[in-house]
Amino acid sequence: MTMADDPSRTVSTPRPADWVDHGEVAPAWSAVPQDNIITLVAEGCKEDPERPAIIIDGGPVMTRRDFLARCETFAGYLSRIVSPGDRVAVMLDNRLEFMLVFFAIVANRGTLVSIAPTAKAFDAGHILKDAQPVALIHGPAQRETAEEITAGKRLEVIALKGEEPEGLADFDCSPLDFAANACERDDIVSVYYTSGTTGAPKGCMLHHGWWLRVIDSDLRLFTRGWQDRQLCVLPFYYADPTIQLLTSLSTRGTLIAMRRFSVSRFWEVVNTYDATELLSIASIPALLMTGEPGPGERDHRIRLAIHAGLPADIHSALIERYGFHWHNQYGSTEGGVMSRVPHALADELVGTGTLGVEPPGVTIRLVDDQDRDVPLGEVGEALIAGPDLYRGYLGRPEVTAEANRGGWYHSGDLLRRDARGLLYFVGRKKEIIRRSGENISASEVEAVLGAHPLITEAAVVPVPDPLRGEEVKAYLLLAEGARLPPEAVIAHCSEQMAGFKLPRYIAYRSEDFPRLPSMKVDKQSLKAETADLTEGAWDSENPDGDGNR
Amino acid sequence: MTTATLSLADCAAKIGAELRSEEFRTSSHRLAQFAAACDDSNPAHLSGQIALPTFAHIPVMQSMVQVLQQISSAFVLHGEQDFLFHRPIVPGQRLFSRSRLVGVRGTKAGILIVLRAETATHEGEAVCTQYITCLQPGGAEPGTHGETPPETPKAAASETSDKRFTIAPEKTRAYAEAARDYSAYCLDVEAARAVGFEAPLVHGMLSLSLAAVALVETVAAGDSSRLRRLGCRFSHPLFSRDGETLQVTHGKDTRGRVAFTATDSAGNPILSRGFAEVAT
Repeated sequence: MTMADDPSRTVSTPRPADWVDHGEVAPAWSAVPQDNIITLVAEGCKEDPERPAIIIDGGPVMTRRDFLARCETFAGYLSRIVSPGDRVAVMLDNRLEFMLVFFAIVANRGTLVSIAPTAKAFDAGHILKDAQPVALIHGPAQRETAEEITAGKRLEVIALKGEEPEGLADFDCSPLDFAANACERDDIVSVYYTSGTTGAPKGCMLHHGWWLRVIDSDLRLFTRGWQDRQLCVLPFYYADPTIQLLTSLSTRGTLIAMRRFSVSRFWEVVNTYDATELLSIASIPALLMTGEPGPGERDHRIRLAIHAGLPADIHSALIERYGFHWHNQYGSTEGGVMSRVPHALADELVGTGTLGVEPPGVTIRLVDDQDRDVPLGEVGEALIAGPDLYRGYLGRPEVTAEANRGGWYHSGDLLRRDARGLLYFVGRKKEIIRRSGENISASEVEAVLGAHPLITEAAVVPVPDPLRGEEVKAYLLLAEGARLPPEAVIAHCSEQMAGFKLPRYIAYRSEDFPRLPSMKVDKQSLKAETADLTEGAWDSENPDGDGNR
Repeated sequence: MTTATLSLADCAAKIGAELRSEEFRTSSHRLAQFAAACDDSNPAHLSGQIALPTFAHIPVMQSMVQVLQQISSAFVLHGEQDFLFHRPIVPGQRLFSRSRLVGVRGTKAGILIVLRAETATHEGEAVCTQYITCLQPGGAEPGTHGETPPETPKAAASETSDKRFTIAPEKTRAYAEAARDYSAYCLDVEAARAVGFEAPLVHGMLSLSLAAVALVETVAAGDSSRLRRLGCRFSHPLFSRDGETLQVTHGKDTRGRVAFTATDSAGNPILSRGFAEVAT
């Protein structure tokens, strides 16, 4: 990457004095070592060795002492395979060994390439070809896919055997001392493939600085203590669970992890393991609200949820029902934590849908298609600058240069900023539906639909149309047992938004949406379900046709 | 472990140092877990309806230790504890605590460091005041700076009773888990030896909690909300090993004042000068 491409070199523009901020924030790097995350792991584990580092729901509890020892042992094994700069692909479910493998790779100055454990030969094969790892580490559930994608290839295949957490026991070796690691701040720690609305997924490279910055920002915006236990409900192959583990290790906390998110077991897990905080994404809050009310949802110790993209319409209901705040956050693989609702303003901002403001050190500009700043209050693409953004896309210098043009990372997200500096999400630039010259944001229509009490979740996609270019199609998942005729949906939407944004096509889901592992609706799969997107859907221009109702 | 110690004058200069603990919310699960780990058989405690009163130490622990660490990086011993209970801890509270260095005293045994910790609900209702006296061993010039802990009540026992608890490493671990106090010298032989003990120690607060279990049962008729004050001196280490016991002996006078002591299987005085006040 040249200097001009590097967003961290950009001098950030000063913030107007009347914009809100995060108030008094602890000084940077007060809880986090600055050099690398392996030092953080070593120091955190040695400070309080008997405290659990991680508790897996229905699985092992592991003290920091054991956690560090097992990381170091497996790192010793990997040291014969992994040289600095080498990549190691990992395909594992939410089992404890994932975290051991993560830090063992990184301590060797290697890079973890994350592959969804549910990936098949096509998508996992693409990543393997793209990332050219020296080894693939997988679990029993991934054996077939692993065999298929590694056949005839020269790379080490390491299969976990036996019961968690002993899956790496066969690879015991003399340990690599984490405290004496040779990692450098610019080493690439991990590569995550972004789902990408167009083209093949690309590998987003994150260096130690990115990780340390995210951990530092998170701890400065919300301090945790020794009695705190973060709950992880996301797949480990995402960056978030590892961030949660590292913030826990920095503050003498413990990470509690579920194998997968479950509405019916959620409060039982919260109370059994004494969770005090939740990291939430996508439809988790909406799904939670569909759960049967019970005493466990009030009698718990959770004091905060941090959520990326909180639905504004259920915000106050969530707080009312569960008794803790939900702080909306704007984050991405490339940009880390880009904005969050300030803790001190949380009460006042409930239900506004705001993403808050940037943490110290990060700057967001909103621009038009020519990268010119839009006037305050108008929608523009968010460009991000900060000292520790991602380090580009693996093997794609031109794509990286394009995304970082002018020294700012182009997020593809459309945001708006109000007079106090607060940011609001409007939509994905690429998820804009262009209907007869009007731009319609899929997420705006989804938010309006989702606000209807009988609609659990909505997904909106464009349908090619010879007359208008594109039409709006809404897929609806109704509350259990509910019936909601299309006319009522349209009536609800007409009260909330301009006529040109109303869905022309409505399709009711008899079962849950296809989902990405992040729980977000997998719109590619959704659209692929029918050959013709209008097939079986109610059509407002032919309301008495044979579309489902 | 480093052994850098401060002189009495240096410690005195830090009087007023104060830290806050993070917000601590209470749940019946957490209160019940604590009671179970303290061998409590009180149904109201085991169901998590109301906390065994010594639970009040949990929310202040972090700020208390961190204030101590500002003063001394040496190994300090928890010497004395005095709880003043204003309001029971029950599920659904949001507790805010702060710990403050209020006084230091030089003695032949070392420097006594006095901390005061206050806990209140988010609505500002006082829950508990604690005086915690720690000893930084090593001898010091005599002298008193700042506050001393309040006078402790003296009881003239007229009736006495005993209760014996069994001690075991797995019970110490269960307490560590319930308190989230994973002090290595309580759980690991090597760590205990590194600070000069032959075996891991039972948390001092577990010993005092066992005494609290005995007292609530016998002198407060099972109603822990009547306990207004509880304290003692930690006189001798209690080792966390199989076969060890803690015997709590207490007496009560006609004015509701209680005195107690606790001894291990060899008769060593683990807790001495124990006192409690019970509302009638």
